[in-house]
Amino acid sequence: MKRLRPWLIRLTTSMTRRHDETRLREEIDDHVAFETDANLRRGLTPAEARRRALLTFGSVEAFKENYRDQQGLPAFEHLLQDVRVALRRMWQTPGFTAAAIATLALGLGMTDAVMSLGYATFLRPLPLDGAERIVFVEQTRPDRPVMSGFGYSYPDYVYYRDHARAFTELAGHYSTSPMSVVTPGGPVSVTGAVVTANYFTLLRLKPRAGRFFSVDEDRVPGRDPVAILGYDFWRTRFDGDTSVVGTTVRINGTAFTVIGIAPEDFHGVLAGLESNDVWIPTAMFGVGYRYCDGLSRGCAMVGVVGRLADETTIARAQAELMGLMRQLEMSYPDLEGRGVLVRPAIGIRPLEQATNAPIVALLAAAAGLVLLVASANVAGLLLARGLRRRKEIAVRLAIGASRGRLIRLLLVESVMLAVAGAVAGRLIAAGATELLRAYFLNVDLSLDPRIALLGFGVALFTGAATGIAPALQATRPDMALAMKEGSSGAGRPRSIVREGLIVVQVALSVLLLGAGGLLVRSFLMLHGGAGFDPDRIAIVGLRPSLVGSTNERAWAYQRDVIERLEALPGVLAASPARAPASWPMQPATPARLPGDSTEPANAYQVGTAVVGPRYFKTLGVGVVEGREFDDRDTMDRPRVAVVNETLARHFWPNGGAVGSVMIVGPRRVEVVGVVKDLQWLSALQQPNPVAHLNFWQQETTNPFAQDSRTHVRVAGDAAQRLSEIQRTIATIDPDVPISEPATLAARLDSEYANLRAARTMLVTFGVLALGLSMLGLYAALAFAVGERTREIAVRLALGASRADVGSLVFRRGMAIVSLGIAAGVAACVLAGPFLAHLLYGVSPRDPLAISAGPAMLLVVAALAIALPAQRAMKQDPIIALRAE
Amino acid sequence: MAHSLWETHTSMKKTTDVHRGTLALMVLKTLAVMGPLHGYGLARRIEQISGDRLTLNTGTLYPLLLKLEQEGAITSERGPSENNRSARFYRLTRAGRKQLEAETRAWQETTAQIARFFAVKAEDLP
Repeated sequence: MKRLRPWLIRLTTSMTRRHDETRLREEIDDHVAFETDANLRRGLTPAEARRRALLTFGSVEAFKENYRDQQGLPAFEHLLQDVRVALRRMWQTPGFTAAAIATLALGLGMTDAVMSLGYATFLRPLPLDGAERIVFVEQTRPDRPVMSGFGYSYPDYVYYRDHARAFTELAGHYSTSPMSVVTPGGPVSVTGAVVTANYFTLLRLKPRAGRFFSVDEDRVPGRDPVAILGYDFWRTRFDGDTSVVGTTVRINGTAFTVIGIAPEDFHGVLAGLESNDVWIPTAMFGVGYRYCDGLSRGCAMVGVVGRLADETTIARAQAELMGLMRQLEMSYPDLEGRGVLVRPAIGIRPLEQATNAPIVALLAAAAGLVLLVASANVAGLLLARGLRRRKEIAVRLAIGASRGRLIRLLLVESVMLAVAGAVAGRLIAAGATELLRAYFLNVDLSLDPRIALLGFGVALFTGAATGIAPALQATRPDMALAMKEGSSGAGRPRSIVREGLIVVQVALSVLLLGAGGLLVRSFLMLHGGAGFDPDRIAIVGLRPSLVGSTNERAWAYQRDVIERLEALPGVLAASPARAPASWPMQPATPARLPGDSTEPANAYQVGTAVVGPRYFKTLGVGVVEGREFDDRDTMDRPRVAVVNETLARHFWPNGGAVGSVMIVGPRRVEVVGVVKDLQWLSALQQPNPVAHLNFWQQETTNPFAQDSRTHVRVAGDAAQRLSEIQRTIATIDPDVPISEPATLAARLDSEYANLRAARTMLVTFGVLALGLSMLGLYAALAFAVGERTREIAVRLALGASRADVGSLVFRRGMAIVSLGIAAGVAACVLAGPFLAHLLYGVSPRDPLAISAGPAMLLVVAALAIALPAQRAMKQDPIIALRAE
Repeated sequence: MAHSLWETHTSMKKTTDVHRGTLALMVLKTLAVMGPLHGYGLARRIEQISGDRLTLNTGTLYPLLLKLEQEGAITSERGPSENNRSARFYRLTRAGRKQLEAETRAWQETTAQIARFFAVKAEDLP
């Protein structure tokens, strides 16, 4: 406090300056008056008395200056002065200021948007009260990746809940429950959650209407069918009518009483792609999950979310749960090797974090590059302006301004440009965020104050980094010569920084354009490469299992559906499949050839897809060898498989896949066909090996076997046939809920929305950055050539031919640009490996993508040199020489 | 441009520069002894007390008075001077009196120490 006091005084003095100066002025006057009186008494004339008094006092201005420097905060005040000067200068050159601000705004805005996306993806806490103490308790298994998120069994959860001290509350939830809800508008398939009664208390939520579950309602299995509806679901399907509370709604065939409505912005703890629309208590687990008893130990469906007690750390909570797990393991040896992972409930779902990570990284890299290009551009502009201002700067240096002070003034200018750029950049960031929001569904992208602060920091740094080289260059001591020399400045050394900057600028632009070009080419490949038209394919989900169908009835139903659909005019083929074709097929099933004794853990992992006859005809994907499934492949026939090219290449590099036998998971199957890779599904990886198994040869123990996503290929636009397809299916069995009717194109759009967002952003910013680079390059080169006007005039006056002078200027300019292009291409090639995993169907050294940017820049460079050179040469040498 | 605050502006050989930090003490002591004074009177008194060996830089005196007042050691108000001019009179506050006592003690200790050092001879030391 003691040390702070003088500063506080100085600060207040800084603010009360005006008052103090009046006071000092008054004291000076008094003092001089007294002194004058004294002199008069000594017998001096009045004029002499006053003159001497003033002399004794000394310089009043120096006195004040001295006082000011001592009393105030000089650094702070000088800064304010610099800011005022900089503002004035910005105002005087509106064109330059606007160009610099716009350029920086683009770079900073994009960086801001990407930082927001990264924050939302990986760091943002759930939008709940005290969210920083909410954690997810995951189970780890030695043989699987941590992030898969395995559930606990309900009795295990209860054991942890009752014994763990590290949590004020530990709730269980199964948040991906398929629910068919009968609404006034008909049955609707939604994702619901089965949750423990303390779920809502833990999250500290207030119901929008009605109430949440009581502990008693979650005690006796099957006794209390009560449900809570999600806000959006209630608004859209029940017209937002609160009188629905207390009424009965059928969920998966069971009548539930609606007791409450969830608050508006709550979509469940796994909000991400799986938002919850309905909640039921764990006592009603049987309705939400029918394939094993959700309350028994053999059925591990419960995800655990907890609120950490005060004074507890995640590490301590995790250690405690581990201890409890080891206690449980004594009774249940199957827990051996399992572990507990407690992680903060931040960001989106871990699985989606993993898929989005490369996209965010890519966007971050692109944003960084755009910011670099923008900074290089502005640095070029500042440099050019610094040279134009050298007379003014020389005068300032000559009348005693220190170099440090001048550098600071110039830096203040560039930082202020950057700050203004950051403010304008917020608008760009808001636009970009809006674009991202449309694709990253349910990811909260609103601006966090911390991100805003970070963005401001980035802007300050950018301003300083952009301004430092131009400031150093502009205030070089030999600049004093400039006063004598005028603006001729043909000296070589002076242009080194400028030319170096052009090289950097060109190199960065080439890198950006090259990377952008590769990604755009890669996306073009994605959509053009597979030779199929997703607009012609309709997909509908048919889930007889949700209405408690028997296998025989369900399968008869599925066969009927295919028959009826294929009988419709304009329908070319229809085929049931377990999953929609748009879903990525993760290689998670071990596959081997008979006689291969590789450990299962080290086995070749393949993706599996369960599809019906004519599936590839429906999709329009070519069969390379053999045949696809047909109606001969039934339950009583040998099990068959169709593999993709990647899988066939792995096991049968020399051909001969068709007719061979392989073992996929527990199944022994005969390969009857090889189809083209369907990797268009996921752009982010190289094609996965995939084994397609027959829908009609599924093991009946599999609970999902009854359900299908039926794919239908039509002659025209599938979107127009969706309702007809649904009507046709409804005539077969109106009770079976039809879910998610959509074209494959629409599904791809929504499921790969993040990719589309990334592409749109990359292309938008790529085009903007291209425009920027070209403008920046043009400005820098044109200025450099313009600087040589006088030199050109002298050469012409001394008898050089226009052609000679022209080629001299041109060669020098193009040499610089070529150097930059070479550096940029080298950087592209070096960056290739980092991009490789984001590319599909394009080599990271794709010549077309890499050379497009340089070609455009060369054209711009040629123009930027030729036009000013032309102008310089047209000028009468006498005028050019006299201009000084 | 930036000259030391404590530099005297006259070039008379005999006068001494005021040591850093001591002027405040002189001001407080003079006010304690003489009662309320205006700035010009204070300057003359200090010079007089020093036996005209000190010449004050007025450029340091007035800022110092302002500072002491802002710190609460003195207060000021305008009043008529002995020759009927209006002037600002400075007066010691209680806080200023305490500060003066504390600083006087500190100075006495320091000077006593220094005096011992100056008095010491080689043979005095074991």
